[in-house]
Amino acid sequence: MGFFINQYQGFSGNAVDMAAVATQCAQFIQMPGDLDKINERLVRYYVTEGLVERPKRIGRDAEYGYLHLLQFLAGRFLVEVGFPMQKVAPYLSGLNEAQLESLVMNKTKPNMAELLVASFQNGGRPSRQEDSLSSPMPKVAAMQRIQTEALDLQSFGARISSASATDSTDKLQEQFGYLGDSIKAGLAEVANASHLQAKASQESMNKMQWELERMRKEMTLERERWCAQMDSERKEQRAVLEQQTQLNQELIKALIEAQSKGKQNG
Amino acid sequence: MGNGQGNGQSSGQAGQGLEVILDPRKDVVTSHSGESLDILLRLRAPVVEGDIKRTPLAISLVIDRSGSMGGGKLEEAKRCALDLLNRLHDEDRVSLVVYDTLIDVLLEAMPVRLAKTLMPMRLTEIEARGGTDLHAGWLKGAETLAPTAGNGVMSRVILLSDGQANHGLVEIVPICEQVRELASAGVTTTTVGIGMGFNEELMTAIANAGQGNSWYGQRVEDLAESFDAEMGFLFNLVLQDVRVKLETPLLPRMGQIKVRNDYTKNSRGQYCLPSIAAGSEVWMGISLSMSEVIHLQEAGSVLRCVITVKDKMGREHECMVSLPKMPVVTPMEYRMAQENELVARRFNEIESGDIQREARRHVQDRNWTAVEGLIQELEVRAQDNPWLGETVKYLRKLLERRDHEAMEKELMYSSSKLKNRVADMNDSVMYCMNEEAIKPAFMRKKVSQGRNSDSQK
Repeated sequence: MGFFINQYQGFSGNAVDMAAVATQCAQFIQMPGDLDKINERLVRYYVTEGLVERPKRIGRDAEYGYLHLLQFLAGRFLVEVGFPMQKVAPYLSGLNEAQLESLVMNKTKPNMAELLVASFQNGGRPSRQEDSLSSPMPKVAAMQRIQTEALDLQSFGARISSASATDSTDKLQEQFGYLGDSIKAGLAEVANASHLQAKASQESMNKMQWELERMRKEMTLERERWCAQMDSERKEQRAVLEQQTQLNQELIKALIEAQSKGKQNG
Repeated sequence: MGNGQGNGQSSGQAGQGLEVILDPRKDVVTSHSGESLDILLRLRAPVVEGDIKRTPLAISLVIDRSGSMGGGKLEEAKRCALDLLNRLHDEDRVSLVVYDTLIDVLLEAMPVRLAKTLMPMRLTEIEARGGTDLHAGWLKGAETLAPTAGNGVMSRVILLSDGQANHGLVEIVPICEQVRELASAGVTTTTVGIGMGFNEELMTAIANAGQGNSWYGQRVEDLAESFDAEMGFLFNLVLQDVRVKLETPLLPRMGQIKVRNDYTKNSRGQYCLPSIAAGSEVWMGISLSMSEVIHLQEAGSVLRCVITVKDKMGREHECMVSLPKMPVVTPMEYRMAQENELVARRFNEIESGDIQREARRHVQDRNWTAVEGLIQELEVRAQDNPWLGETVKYLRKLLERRDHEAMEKELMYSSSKLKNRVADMNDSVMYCMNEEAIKPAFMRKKVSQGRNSDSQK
């Protein structure tokens, strides 16, 4: 019996669950690349990069569904075959469930031009990455997480003392390992957030530049209109002057004629 | 593939008969002259005798149907579209997109034999109305070609417009960025401007980024020649995706090496040159710091150009050509050394193109005194170049009439032509309008870029 991705339609779970299901699916459909790399961190990374939509939040837990699973597998496939992640994200955001299923099951990859067109067409809508940027200070949130989760010295001290009380070196090592992992994850998040912020500032700078360019163009057009108006006014003035000169000449002629007639009569 | 080396001139050969020639302005160099070492890289595709199967084409015609296209322009555009259709082969593909503020795909990409039945009917439905969403129109055209891009097919969007983009994305930078990326993915873009109301800066920038051509017609009757030139170019295509990578220890940021044309650079640091049609050449003007070349050439070649092209079957070929070590002479001997006429002429044309761009900025500001000064400078430069001389005469006429609209367009397209044109393989200093008129339209050296060959005088 063949493998059908839609048997997971009812899937719901956290990042760890999704990574496990995604690994299974990837094995079945013989997805290219190293399947061991599929884990909850990769899931979160894909969310940050906009390949997978943000999960629902239930309290402090994140809940992923079937669409997230499809996006993850499709994103993984396209990245593995060599497409750049920043182009894959907007491309995937334009695909519905059926299209994602077809992409994952048939592994029908688009060509680069199709991917680019789709990403330009979806470029107008705010990407998920921008959503994450719109939250006031991701950097601060990540720092807080480090503070609360990793650098909670009190709880860490308690854990160490309980471990040393039981004289268990393994436990002690486990606690240090946990601390190291947490700090690493936190720092990675900080670095990631800084990167996103830098990108966001760059984008806003670009937008401002475009806006300035637009204003410059408008002003140029305005100036052109003004110049054209001035030109036409100048032309009109010249025409009036010419008419006036002509009238003066005719008047002088008439006066001379009248004078000569007067002289003749006289 | 080849890597020839000679004294002062290097040449190489790639598959499909591509000839690569690297010529310096002079065969010698000197220190303390303050001059740059000008080098001309030419990529030529000679005409091959016998029956030549041309590259299959996929063309998307994207026609502006905004209100300003009313009257003769739209009717002429329809006529040109039908003419184009009749000249394509049955196996080529064509699509038809029209745009104002709304975009309609009147014909999805389909083989020409089918389009011949449908397109005439679809064209009758087009009526002029609304604004100009140029970007969305272009993107829709590109979308119709995207599925077949690459694979040895030349996919080209031909974008026609007579007005300013005033709806949707209108800024030059982001539009050109998208056009550039799609050109790298195999969907190239040519622009055709018509009348005096279109944005020549945007249209030439799009064509440049899209690795296509930019044409314009001042009047309705000039439009047909723009299409003719584009068709002639596409029908004679021999090599596409022409990329040149400059491998050198010289530092571009320090101004030690400069590419003088407007070619864009891709993410791999390669310059993207226009495709090459049979019997024509594309070229690149490179200026190197002479003192640095003298300093570095002892250690090996200062410049190596790695050229990659794709033939009609979509196969990639690579060719390399290096600048040979050049003898160092005294400044006096350098002054006496003979100049390569073609290299000097092309660099003179490039510099004249730069002056024309500067003149255009002054025309925009209505600073006629500055324009007058620059036209005089062009006249001096044109003394030994009859084609340039005729072009400058025409510009002077426009200046005397204070015709700023025509002058802005002419200066933009003329400078673009001077800097990036596809040249005839037998390009000589001699210039005769009647002789030009019998050349294929895409290779003609015109005096007025916006007028057809019958109206050049």
